[in-house]
Amino acid sequence: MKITVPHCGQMDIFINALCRKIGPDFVIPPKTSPRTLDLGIKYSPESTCLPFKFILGNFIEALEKGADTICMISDHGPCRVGMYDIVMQNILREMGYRFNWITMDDTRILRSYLLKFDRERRKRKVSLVEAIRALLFSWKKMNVCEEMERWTHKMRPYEVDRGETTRVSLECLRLIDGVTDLKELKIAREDALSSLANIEQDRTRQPLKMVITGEGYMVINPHANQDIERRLGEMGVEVTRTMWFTSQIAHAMRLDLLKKRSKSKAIRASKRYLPHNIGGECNASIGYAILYAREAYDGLIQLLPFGCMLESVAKNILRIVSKDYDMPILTFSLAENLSETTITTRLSAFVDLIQRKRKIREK
Amino acid sequence: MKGYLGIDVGSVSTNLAVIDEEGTVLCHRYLLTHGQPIRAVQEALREISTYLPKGMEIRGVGTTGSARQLAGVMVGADVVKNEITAHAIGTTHFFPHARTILEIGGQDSKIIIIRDGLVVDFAMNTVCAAGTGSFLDQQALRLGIPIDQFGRYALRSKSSARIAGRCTVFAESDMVHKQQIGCNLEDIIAGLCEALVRNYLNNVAKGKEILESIIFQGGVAANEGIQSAFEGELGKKIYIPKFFNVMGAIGAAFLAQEQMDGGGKTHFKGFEVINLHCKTRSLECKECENECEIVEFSIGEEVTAYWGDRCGKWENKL
Repeated sequence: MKITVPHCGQMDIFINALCRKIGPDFVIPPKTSPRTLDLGIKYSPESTCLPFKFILGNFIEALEKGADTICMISDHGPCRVGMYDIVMQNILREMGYRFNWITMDDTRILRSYLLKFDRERRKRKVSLVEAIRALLFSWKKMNVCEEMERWTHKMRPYEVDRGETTRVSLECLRLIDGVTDLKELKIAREDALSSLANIEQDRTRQPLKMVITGEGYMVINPHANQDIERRLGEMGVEVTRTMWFTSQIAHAMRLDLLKKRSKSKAIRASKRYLPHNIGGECNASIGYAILYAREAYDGLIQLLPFGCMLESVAKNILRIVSKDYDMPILTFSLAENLSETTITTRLSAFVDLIQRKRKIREK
Repeated sequence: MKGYLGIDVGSVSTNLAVIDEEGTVLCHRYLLTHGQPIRAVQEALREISTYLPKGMEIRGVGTTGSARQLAGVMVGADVVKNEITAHAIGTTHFFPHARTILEIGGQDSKIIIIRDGLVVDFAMNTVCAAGTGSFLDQQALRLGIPIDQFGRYALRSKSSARIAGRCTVFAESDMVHKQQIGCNLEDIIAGLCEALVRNYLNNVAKGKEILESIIFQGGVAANEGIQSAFEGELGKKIYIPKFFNVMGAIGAAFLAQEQMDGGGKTHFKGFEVINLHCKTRSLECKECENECEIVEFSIGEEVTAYWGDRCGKWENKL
């Protein structure tokens, strides 16, 4: 079995860590590039959403690289991700690829994939203890990666040489990806933190604080959102986002009940505006706007793939939230034809808007 | 005497304005870009330099518009700003009570919502450019009417034809159809103006609270037909400022003044740039999967700037 998954944030680091410990072989799709998107567009239904096109492109490139088993998450409800797995399988088979497909959602945990993975585990003669240990190690590694990312978001607005934070953090992530045990992980983490701290900074700056929310794939993937975190950071904004790999898993497993900014808290906060949880990230997007407004964040950016129904609902409600909480909100509806200038012009206008507002307030 | 220069290089026009310390507009120029921003800026600088009062010292320069970066490195700008901020700054100086700015340019249309003199919200066209200046230009050409007469034709109409304005291609076929069934030109043009305004209000201005005073600017504001269609659709008075087509440049000049009031010396290279041989070249960086398109700017033989790289490696090279 040569397994592959789509690129989604730094999930590849997690799967890679796990597979190196206990198998099976993991084929990382080539990094998402313009070619990936071109392939995705070519073989996708024209009006489908942007994540579909990226993910299909990832799968085609992974199959070209020799993957024979595709692992794909699914959902039930109004979001189109529910039809991704069936449609993608059909498209790929029509293209002539042969592969096994594992659908992961919360209704068929046992039959559909846990048993499959367990059979694979026994076939490879990996003990259960070993498997659980590997899982915990990969989980820890993922947490370190995300901690690094959070630091990057904090440091970037202070950097003196544009791009240095990004370069350092990429290098650190590469090192973390390479470690094989807990001891090494600890050292890599400390090294990473100290090299981030060594970046030349201008501490006289007073960065704005913004939160990025919206549809998960767009929020978590720099290749899909035109690198919006970096762009904002370089404009002097400390960003944070509402979607993380670990927070999604923790939410699905109900492990985040005590966390301050958990998804369940956000959904609860949205009740006043949308009493019914309509699925996807819709309620969370609304709720997070409220949670972060309460924490005195300066602004919020909502990202959605063009045509996303759930986030379009959220978009219209966010307009009211923006008024009620006096927090500026900018919505980006992203499609494959979006140019860089469109993004930068709007972002810099949004940053100006908030900065001028702050100046008046300080007077 | 001291002044500030603002440069707005857009897709269709290149505009310059010079203001004095009190914020009075001393002179301004409006030129067509013709797809050659470098030449347009040089030409506009040459023209404006002859209008400047004797002994005028330029204390600061601001650039805006889609070619703001290019214009910025070329003349040595002190501030390079997006056009939304620039327009808002320019307009609120002349109209402190403005609460809505409708701006339609060559290829962009935007709405800026202002409360108490501050931008609180804005939007730009994303999915389509129907209803912007370029399309009106095209249609004027096709109908054989000079663009500056276009609005007057619309005003003469007694009952406008219904045209679909969502997409320029369909709008055009609708117009052709109306011509073929015998509608007169005035009614078709009036219908087109209404369609474009509807399209603007349903796309760009969707969900925005349009409160008075409403200021309409950008090149398309010269078109009386569009103005009256806006007034008809909104039922409110629309003001067109005297400097409607150079407001971005004026805003950029104000931004330059604001920047220089913070202290420091201007980076302006002087009017000598008129005669310099500037050129750009684009190259694709192949060092990672981002494949950024890098722009190289040189004066004479010397490369003076790079931009367009995500990582900053090229930008920091010089």
